[in-house]
Amino acid sequence: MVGGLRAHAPQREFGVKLPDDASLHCLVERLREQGGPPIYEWLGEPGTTDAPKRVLLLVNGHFVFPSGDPEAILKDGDVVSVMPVISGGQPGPWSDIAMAWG
Amino acid sequence: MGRVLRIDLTSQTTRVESLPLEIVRDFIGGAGVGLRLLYSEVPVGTDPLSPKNELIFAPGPLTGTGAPGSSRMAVAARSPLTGAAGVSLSGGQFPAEMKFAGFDVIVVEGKADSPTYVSILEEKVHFRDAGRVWGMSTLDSQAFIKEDLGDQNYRIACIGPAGERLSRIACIINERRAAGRKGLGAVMGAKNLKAIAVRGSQKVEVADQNRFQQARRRLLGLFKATPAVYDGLSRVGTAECIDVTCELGIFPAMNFARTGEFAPVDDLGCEIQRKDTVRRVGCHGCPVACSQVRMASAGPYAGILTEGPEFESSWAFSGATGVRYRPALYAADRLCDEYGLDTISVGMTIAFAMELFERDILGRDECDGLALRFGDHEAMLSVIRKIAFREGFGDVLADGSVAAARRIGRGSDQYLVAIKGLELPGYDVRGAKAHGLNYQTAYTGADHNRGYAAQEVFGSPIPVAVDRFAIEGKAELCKWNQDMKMALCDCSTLCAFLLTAGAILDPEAEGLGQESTHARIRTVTDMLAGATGIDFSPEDVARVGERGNTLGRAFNIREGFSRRDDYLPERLANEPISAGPSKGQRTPQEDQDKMLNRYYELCGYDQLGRPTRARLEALGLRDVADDLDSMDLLGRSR
Repeated sequence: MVGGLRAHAPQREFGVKLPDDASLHCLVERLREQGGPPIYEWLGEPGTTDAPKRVLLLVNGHFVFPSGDPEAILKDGDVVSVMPVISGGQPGPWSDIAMAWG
Repeated sequence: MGRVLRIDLTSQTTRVESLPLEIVRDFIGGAGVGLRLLYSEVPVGTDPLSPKNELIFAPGPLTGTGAPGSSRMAVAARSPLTGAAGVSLSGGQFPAEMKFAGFDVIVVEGKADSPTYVSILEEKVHFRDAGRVWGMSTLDSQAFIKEDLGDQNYRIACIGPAGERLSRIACIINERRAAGRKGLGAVMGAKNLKAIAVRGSQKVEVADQNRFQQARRRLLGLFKATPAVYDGLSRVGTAECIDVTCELGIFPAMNFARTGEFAPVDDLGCEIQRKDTVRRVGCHGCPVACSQVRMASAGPYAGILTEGPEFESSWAFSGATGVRYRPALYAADRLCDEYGLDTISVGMTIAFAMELFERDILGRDECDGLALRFGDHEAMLSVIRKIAFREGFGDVLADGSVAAARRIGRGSDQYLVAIKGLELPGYDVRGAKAHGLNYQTAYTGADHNRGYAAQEVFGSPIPVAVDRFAIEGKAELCKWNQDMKMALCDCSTLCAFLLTAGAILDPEAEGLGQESTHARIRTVTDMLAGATGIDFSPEDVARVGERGNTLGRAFNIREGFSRRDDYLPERLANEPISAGPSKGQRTPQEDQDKMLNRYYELCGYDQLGRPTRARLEALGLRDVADDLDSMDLLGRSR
């Protein structure tokens, strides 16, 4: 959890158990289930199928969402960062790009 | 609109002129107007510290109108630090007060015989003896002058002890905001000008109230709809950038030698800094109020407050120097504000000295007995004072790192991290290539504010999402960033933080193309047109950006700058980042050349980085083309 999100997350870093061949998309769904109310505010509530609109997702320091492929498979040891939107204007452009989401 | 106050310190006279309409049409205000006047009025080869250099204060046409985020001004002069065009932007209350006092531009010429300050009350100008205030810190100077004038409502731009001693890394402070970089405080000191105090009550009229107010309301709506504005800037300020750059592995550490190894988010990140915030401050009329006043509450610096520190200052006194102790960075920021010093150049110049000490190039005896080791906050604070007063070893560092390397010799220049003499700010651009290309090509030197690549640092999709390590497409992106920044922030004087957040751009389809770019700037264009009565189109405003940057480039070419000055420091070309998410990244010269070649082509420059006649004329700068031609400096057509 990066920047202002740290105030909302239970801790800065935590591990999440995922099935083999899990994607970033899958991780977000797991976080929605396990993260509790502070996480819902940023990622969406459990069962939500929309793309997150207020965060960026990075894998090993590379922006993967919304500018990349959220269906890319995660590997053991990958570090996923959840960062608040600090730039990029209104959610409009993000929503367009997030069409790739599920 | 367009009233220029010229203050001649030599003759102690003033005159008021009208800014020609074509200058407003071509440059809007701010940096563009400053550059236009500098190019026309400061002779080639002028010593920046001589009376012939001008010091120009230029807000924009929106300043003082109630347009949110517009109380900003450009301060322009030939830079004593770089020798290039020196433009520094500052917010605060002073820019709006200048407008209320009836002036759109102040041009300071000549040199006073003795320390002087100038007061301006409702268009009336007085030259006043600054003998008693000379030597004071900036905050005490402002308090003293208000008492001297018997009016606490004056707004004051002034220098501290560093500017008085002609430190080439001195800045100009108003309230606690700084026109920070490029040593413009030394220009003010060289003129024996301690301060300008302004007070006015005039209403800043706008030409078309309906059009202006409609656009203003739309802009406020954009602020509200942009998550980064109130959730981010208002809540934690720019300190969030510490967390982000650490996460990307581009938080430069220890003079850029150990980037990726030092990521002190737990000690210095935005959430821990937020706990030290005692209140927020805004520039005149800004609803965002992003400036955080923070206080050290324990330890040797307990009780010290500082406004900010912004990300850059936080980094300069932590990452650059390897210091983890948060109260020390508050104290260092406060000291620099009081002494009138640029935090970035000071931090990086100390970092440079620390590396020399660690490498045994500098001995303790040369550093006034200090052990200048990375991470030593007490040594850092001692050196800041020495720089401001040119005491002992401080005199060696007081003109920035490049001048220090010249004095120290012994191969020390290989550890310099500067471009065109300006020390690099807080992004390790080996891991953000368009951001680096901006450092290389910005007319002011290594300046994050001339073309911030939010696409690489914050993953912004405006105008396109990019891979931060790729070099392909980065020339196009860098030029887009530079031209938009020049047009919307440096000339229209809207806040750069709000542009970086994306909050002054209309939401439109992505892309670097002209059509989507023009669609993005309709609100700002409408506000400018409503304020000025000039029927600016989005095309006009977009071209102001390119025109301003080309004029800045032409100024530098005339002063002897060339392609050779557009390269990254050797460390960033040859040494890969050693750890973290950007591990292995460097920007070798061949990659820099590829980006530069394409960038020059897009800008209409030749292979030496010189503007061609065709591009200058297309931008309405025929006189500049003729001038460069007469000096055989015009770019050769491809």
